[in-house]
Amino acid sequence: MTRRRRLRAGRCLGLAAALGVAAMLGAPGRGQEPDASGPAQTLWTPAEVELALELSPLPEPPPDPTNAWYEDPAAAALGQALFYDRRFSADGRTACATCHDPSQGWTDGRRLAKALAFNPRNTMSLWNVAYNRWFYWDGRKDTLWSQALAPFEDPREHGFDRVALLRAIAADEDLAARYAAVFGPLPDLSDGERFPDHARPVPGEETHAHARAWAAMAPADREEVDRHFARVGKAIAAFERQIVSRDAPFDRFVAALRGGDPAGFDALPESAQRGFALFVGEARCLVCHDGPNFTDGEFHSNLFPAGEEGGDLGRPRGVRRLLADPFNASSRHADDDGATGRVKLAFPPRRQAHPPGEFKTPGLRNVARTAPYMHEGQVATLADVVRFYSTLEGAAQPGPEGERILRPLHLSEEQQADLVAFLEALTDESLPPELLGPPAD
Amino acid sequence: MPARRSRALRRAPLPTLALAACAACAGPRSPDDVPRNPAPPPPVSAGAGEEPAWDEALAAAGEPTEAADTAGTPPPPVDERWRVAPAESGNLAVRWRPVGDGAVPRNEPFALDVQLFREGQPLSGAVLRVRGWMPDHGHGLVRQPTVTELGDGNYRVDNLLLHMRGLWQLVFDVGEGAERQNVVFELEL
Ligand code: HEC
Ligand code: HEC
Repeated sequence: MTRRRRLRAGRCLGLAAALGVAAMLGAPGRGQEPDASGPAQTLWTPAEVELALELSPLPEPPPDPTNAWYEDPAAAALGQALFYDRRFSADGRTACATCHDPSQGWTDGRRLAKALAFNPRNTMSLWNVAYNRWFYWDGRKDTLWSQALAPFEDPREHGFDRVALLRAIAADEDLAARYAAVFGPLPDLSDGERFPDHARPVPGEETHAHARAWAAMAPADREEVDRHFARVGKAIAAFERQIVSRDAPFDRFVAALRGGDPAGFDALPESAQRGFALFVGEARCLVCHDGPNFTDGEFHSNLFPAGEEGGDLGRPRGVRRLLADPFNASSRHADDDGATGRVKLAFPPRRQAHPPGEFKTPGLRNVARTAPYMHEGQVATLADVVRFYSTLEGAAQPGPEGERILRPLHLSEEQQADLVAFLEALTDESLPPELLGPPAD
Repeated sequence: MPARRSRALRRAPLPTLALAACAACAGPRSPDDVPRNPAPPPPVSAGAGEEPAWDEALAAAGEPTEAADTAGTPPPPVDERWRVAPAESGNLAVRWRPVGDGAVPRNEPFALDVQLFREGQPLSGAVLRVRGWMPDHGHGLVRQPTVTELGDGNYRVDNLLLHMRGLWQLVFDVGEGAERQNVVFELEL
């Protein structure tokens, strides 16, 4: 039986023993009765144990050198206030939290996002967002703070503009004080000649009233507005950084394997243990959903048939937009003199892009709470996701230069249920309750 | 690190794969142009009936310590982390090692020290380009490595990012005047 052989031959024996989990080597192989002489703590082979140790725990979010305030609690509190505030929108009703609702896994439960208008993409969850290398399904943003600027001016989202945003913050005593305490005072925008009511660049629409007003402003005034606009994003990013999930049943189980609280051994049902073995083994999910946040942070096509929207190429367009973005990590708004941008924004030349598009591999922590799935929200349940990966029925054809990674897995019903059980065991929605609404004080 | 490296070494049919990759990487394309999906590997060109340079190149590539004793290989490496291979023609050799602790990290940027030799002598002034390719996935690198010549046949490659587990081919594309040669190393991450 291959499993038994792998148990003995594994080069991981030494590691497993060193980690004090040697006891489990006496554990029965799958489908066998537990051996009364040794504790049957896990069904995993040493190789699977080794992978589990790589995938948990999730460390602290990485530092963000492009944001000098990423760890500043006062900046985070300001960002939290802004995140839940509905006033910074054309209809006076839309906040970030409208679509990123903490009671719905920091998303909206909808197939496609909608505030002022439909957006042809599914709202992404904000769980563990600070671990991401790129932002949005197509990665058109490279820092969390720069991402936070876009919704304010997106006509489908907040439909607002940067000048009005800064003015609205300045008009609110509490927000203005919070802002001043972190970043110094906001600029005086009271001179209507220099600072129109509404102004922003509108790429591709130079005749838009906001674009003309923006173009009419003095360059130094535009620069001043942009500098503060970027700081608003940096405050929001400091808040979002706290939306961390890393105490799922899977983590508690792995902690127990490491010799931590043995109660963790009860956290992961056998079905989920088998699901993990599939995830890292035969089902090859780990190829893309790698690392303790279960994403490689990069872009792939998983060949899911497009929904009604179709035609979305994702990544190639995202790269073009990112390189043209005046708030990208190479811009003067990044607080590390472009050091991050110099490495991150060096893309190899690409050849022609073809459908199906490539999209960011989503992290899978709390995925059981963020249905529907995929960039168009075209899949309703995790069972549907797993069934597709298993059969590839109706799969899109990879483009002529597209990668070829997926192949039908032919998983049994039971195996599919096991995979879903594992995905469900990545759920941890515990957060300090004070983060779930505007700051109290 | 040693565990990972040795796993790489155990992976079997290196030469064929490397030849296929080389065929896919060379050719009329512009040198920067990494094919997203290579044509199916052409039959291994058995023209001369033997391929000593490749066998030895890959044997050497697989062995972190020993330099192959073909003509034109560099002097034995002083540091066991160097990996060495002569190119197809036999008189070009490339050796490299990761800067730092010698490990190739997965999905984190890293840098390489590279040395080029021609007829056993340090090769300066070459145009070195580095590409990556995952033959089992049909894709290459997601970032563009940068190369700096340091003099005396030494080069530094920055901003390499091997973003996935699996078999990678690192292609060292060495240009001198109009001539280009590829040297391919394989590693399993
Ligand atoms: C109308 C609904 C809506 C509103 C309002 C909204 N978002 Fe989003 N958010 C989305 C959608 C849809 C996406 C994915 C869009 C895409 O990829 O093109 C997204 C993506 C994101 C992401 C990227 C996550 C990742 O993993 O890449 C972040 C971060 C985010 N939003 C934060 C915010 C913040 C901060 C605000 C308020 C300033 C905000 N959103 C307002 C719908 C919304
Ligand atoms: C080729 C890389 C790749 C492999 C292999 C892969 N995935 Fe994915 N996965 C993706 C990408 C890319 C997306 C997002 C696609 C989109 O939005 O169109 C995704 C989306 C998902 C989602 C939806 C997440 C969300 O928030 O919408 C789940 C769940 C998922 N994958 C689970 C799995 C499982 C389970 C396996 C193994 C059976 C697997 N994936 C294998 C790349 C991959």
